[in-house]
Amino acid sequence: MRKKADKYLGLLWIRMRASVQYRFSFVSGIISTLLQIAIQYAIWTQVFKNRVSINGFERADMFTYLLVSQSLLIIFSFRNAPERMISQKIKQGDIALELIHPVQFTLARFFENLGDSVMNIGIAILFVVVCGCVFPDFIVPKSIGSVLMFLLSVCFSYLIMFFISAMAGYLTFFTMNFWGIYNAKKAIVDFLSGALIPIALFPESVRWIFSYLPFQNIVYTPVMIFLEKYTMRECGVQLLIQCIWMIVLMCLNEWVYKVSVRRISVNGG
Amino acid sequence: MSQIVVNDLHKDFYVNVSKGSGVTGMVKSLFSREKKTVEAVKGLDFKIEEGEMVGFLGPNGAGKSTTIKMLTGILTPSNGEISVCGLTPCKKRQQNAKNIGVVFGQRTQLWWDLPVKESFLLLKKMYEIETGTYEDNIAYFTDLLDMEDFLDRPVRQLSLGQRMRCDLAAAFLHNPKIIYLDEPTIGLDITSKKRIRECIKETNRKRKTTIILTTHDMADVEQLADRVMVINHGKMVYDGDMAGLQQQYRRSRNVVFTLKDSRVAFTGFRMDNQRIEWQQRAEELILKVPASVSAGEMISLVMAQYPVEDVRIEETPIEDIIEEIYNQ
Repeated sequence: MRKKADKYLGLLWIRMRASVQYRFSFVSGIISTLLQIAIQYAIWTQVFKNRVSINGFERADMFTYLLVSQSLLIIFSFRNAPERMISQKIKQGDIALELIHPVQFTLARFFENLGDSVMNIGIAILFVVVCGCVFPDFIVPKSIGSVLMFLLSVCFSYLIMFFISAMAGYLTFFTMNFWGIYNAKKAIVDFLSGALIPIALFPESVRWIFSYLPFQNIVYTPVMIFLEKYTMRECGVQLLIQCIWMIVLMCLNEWVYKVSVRRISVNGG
Repeated sequence: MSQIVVNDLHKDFYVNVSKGSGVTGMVKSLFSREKKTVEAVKGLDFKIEEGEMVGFLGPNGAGKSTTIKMLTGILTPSNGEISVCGLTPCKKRQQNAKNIGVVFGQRTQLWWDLPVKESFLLLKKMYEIETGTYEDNIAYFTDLLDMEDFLDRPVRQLSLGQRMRCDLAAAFLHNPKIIYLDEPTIGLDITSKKRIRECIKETNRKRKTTIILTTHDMADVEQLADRVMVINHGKMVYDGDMAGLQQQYRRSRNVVFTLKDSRVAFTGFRMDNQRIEWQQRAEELILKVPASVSAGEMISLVMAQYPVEDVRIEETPIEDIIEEIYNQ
């Protein structure tokens, strides 16, 4: 068992080392996040000028939502997105090399991705902590229970995001095209996950559609837990929903993997 | 049961064909594309025993790499059966991976930014190699392939020759039963080629590792392969030993003379009552020497009659041999 864990941890370690080297794109990622926050802050300040709250969201809530959701996006945006990795490997035919190794393909990609994310996770945590200390408007969860549930929720979100990205990657097997799928996925996820606008602010009629899709569970659910907008019972339900989506997407992912790997056309005679 | 058994193996690829050319073609392609079936492998049958050294030959696009990819579990056959050490490679990919090692000549399996030693350590973890075995193998291959100097350097800093040696060691590290080599000496200088071949021969001798070698380098095949399988258009056209291959195709060689004076005209030649084919372009004179004729004798005869500045002997390229065999 230990030996099996070592395999995957080895992959994680390598990617972590490699990600430290990409300092420049790192910094520019942070700058772009700060810019996004500044823009959204300006917009929402205007929105809240004549109102105290929208659908139960006050100014302070919105501000906190903004900062926490952007921090999560730092982690989830996956600069070295799994789908980029996978499609790159297909294009270069390196997929063959990965298939030679005695490791489970999806699990290996997951740990590599985790290795890439480690730096981002560190930054995101730092970011949230700093905001908590510096800004009086920033709402900090009051109970340890909330924090723990928040962390659990983020873990589930990470996995959900990973499976969606991996499947997008396998789809490039079929279309032999990366950018189209990547941008489509990014747009869908950004919009439906609550990253841009909290789901609660959408009209009732639209919200029920969202609740049947996995995307809101990526950003919206964890942030709502952070804001302590849910009762304990509601938290439990939301976490369970996340869990279910995670398992569904995992199975879906394995199926897409099997179907696409059988069809890969690797060049060379 | 043989170590590798292949039965009626087929592989088809579905290729998109664009309709027409130019702007109209581009627009048409947006809406519908024809699918064409390419049969890359059309029914292969063979068995390989443990410890054999097999050369896989054939022109580019013959289906060699496709077959290797099916043997290693990367591609799934369209039809037919494969059994490698009792396993079906595409179904039991991970288990099969533990029994095999692969060297792709044009790609490295090592991690680009890491020192070689670190790549090896990661492979140790991946293949769950015992520390004792690992240490022994590292020592053995470092010595055999003379890798001491660059084990600490990142792979991207290595020359092609150095990188190939590392890839070879990496493939052997976990003591696999079978090694697949896809163009292992491509682009290498003569010293590197020799070293690689020595290593392969040694390891096959000592550990009874089955070696399957895909190459266009005839010297590789001559020095390493006991058995040769020639594939063309997805079918097996020859399966036997090297001697048989040479007998089936009586090799002729080209002898190229550089005459001192371009104005001298060659007027034909007979040796052992055979007319020798020839071609002259200014001062370059090319004679096609059949296998039965001694090149040495012929050279001295020509030099006696004509003012020769320089001589060189050219071996026939392997593609010609393959083509010759296929056409028979």
